[in-house]
Amino acid sequence: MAIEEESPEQFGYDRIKNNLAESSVSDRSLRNLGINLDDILLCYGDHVGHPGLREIITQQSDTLAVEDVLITAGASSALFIIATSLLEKSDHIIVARPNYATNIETPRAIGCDIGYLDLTFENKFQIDIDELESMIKPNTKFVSLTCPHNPTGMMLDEKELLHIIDIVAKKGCRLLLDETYREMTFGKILPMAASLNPCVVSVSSLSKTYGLPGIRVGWLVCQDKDLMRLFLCAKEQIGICGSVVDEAIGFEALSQRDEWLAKNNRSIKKALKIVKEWITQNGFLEWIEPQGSCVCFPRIKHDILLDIDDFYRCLNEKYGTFVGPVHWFERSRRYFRIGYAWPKVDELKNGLIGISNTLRDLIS
Amino acid sequence: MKIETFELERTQSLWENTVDYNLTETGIHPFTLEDLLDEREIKKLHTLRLGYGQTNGSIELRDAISAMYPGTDRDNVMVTSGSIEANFITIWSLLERGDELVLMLPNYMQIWGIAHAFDIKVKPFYLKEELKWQPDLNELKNVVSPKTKMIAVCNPNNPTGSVLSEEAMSTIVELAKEADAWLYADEIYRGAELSGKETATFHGRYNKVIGAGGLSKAYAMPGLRIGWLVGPHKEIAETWARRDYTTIATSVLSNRIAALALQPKLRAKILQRNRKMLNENIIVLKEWADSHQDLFIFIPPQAGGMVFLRYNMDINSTELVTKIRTEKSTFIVAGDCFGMDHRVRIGIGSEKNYLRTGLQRISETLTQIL
Repeated sequence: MAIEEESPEQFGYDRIKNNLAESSVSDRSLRNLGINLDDILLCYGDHVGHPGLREIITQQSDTLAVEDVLITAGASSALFIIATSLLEKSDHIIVARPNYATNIETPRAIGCDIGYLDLTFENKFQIDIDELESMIKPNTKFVSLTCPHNPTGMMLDEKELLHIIDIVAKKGCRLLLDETYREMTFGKILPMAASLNPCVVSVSSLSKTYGLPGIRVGWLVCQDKDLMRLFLCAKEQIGICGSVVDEAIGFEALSQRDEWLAKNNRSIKKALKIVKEWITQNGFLEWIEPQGSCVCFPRIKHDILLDIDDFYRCLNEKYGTFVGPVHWFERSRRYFRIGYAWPKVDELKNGLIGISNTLRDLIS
Repeated sequence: MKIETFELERTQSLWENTVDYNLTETGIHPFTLEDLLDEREIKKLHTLRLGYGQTNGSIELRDAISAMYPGTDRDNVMVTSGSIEANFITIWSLLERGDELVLMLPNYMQIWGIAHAFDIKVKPFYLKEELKWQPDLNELKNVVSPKTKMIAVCNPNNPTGSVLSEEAMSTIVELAKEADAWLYADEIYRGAELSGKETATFHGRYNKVIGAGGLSKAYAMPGLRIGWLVGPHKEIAETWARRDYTTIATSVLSNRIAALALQPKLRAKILQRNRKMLNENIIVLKEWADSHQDLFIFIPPQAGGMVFLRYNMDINSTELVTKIRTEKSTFIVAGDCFGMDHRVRIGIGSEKNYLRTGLQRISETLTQIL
């Protein structure tokens, strides 16, 4: 996948001065979490995951039981498990586009018939629920959405979420909801969708909101017991269990959830404000202001003529600035993704100046 | 995909944490970080940024792995989430629906399960107890055909603990060459030889060998989830592309700890500690088996933390194992998990007193039955 091959960690962090390509908040260290690992026995862990970690995930809802949670090696692994367990060649699924690449690439690799629910700038990247409903066929296995959405940061409100679940349940298919950014929102945090109906599978992780992608801890949540049995089968074939070190850290990180989220959301809001001021002043770009996550998806205004290859060359090489190029998301190349919560404030500001300077250089 | 229940792992998963004595593990009693690293190294771990690691494994770890396989560089290495993921992505990358896979049995049955999920045709060849768990080479020659796309072996073998003879290894390589087939060698138990003489790797004997290894068994660190593949650049790059779908990356902490563990000095220390445990424990197991006169017949393992015993009793292996588990809270693996009834696999990698008490509990059930 292009998104992994061209990712900053493969390109080499030392070659990037301003990294605005990350879709997570800044990475943390064990010291930052106050964790001691000395005594953890490096044995095989529980196949379903660290019991305390599963328990703590269910605490966010009254309806969920520990059995409804399966810990996975990051959200990507959860998505892979779900796709390989539920899909066969020629099955139909509906996927919102643009999207995190795995959500499209894995079903494509299996040979599924994919219906794309295109989110457009003109429609403020909102999901058209009527269109979604009309796309569901008798052989549709699931509808795959992300909320808050990567790369646009747009959200469903609770009413819309319930409406979609209702439609999906009535049609006898399922909703796969990637909730990696659920707790990173500028308004009210939505309930975990899997707690609302057994036809929903929720996926999340510690990689984005908690700044811990280096420990591979994610999870899937679903109240359908038969489905959970299938998912465990797949997990055991692919990886048996997660790292006990990672899961112990994950447990600690989630135990500090409330303090962390408060602090985290404060710094994200601050960063978003910087981006907002910059976009307004800069004049070359337009955007839909995000409602959640820590990414946004601006585009270069259509009347600005430039060669997009030159744009990236100049941005990367002359200004040492890295953004998420749009071909990761299969959209017009005039869009790109800015991750504004990973870099420090100075790095963010310098990166934004780098983008402005690049555009100025190429236009004049 | 139709993924079947992985019986062995599922049974283990269901009970391993609920019993008093779990003798199903084939690895060796795990280390803690404190056992392995000095204070300075542990302190350094605390400042490591927990960002995404390189998706194919850190450079320091791939270099450390590559150093163990002459003629390779870091791009011949792909780090995976345990060797189980190595198996999964290799089969997924190299084989297609309808392809013919020649598989060594008995076996840890994961590849069997994946092959079925991908509609791959499996042709088994067997290690024979009467040949001290070596393959019958004439039989093997008849199984491999021009249509064979891959020969998959596990050497040293799980569950028998046997190591292929030089003759068997070279025959397998020759047959793979003749068929122009991939030779996939799961070598996860390399380094856990009781004699201390490390098993030869298949790597380097033929240009279509993919080798797998990991830290879960011989190195006694399954909790890190670090495995690897070693093979030609092109195929390793191909597995990397698949890997972006399954788990993206392994833990940066695990990468760091693994890279330290594989440095020659620490590696030697780890393997020596493990070998010592196995050599002490095999005596405990033998004495225990002898105390039951002719009840058990087994070929002593050459490597790995397990013994595969045949018993002279008229009881199905799953039934026997369930009885021992429910009555004595002691857990071993039924031969049924390997498709070989009237056998059990007993893990001997745990601490000596734990093993001894676990075996005593098994004896109590046996006395009752007899």
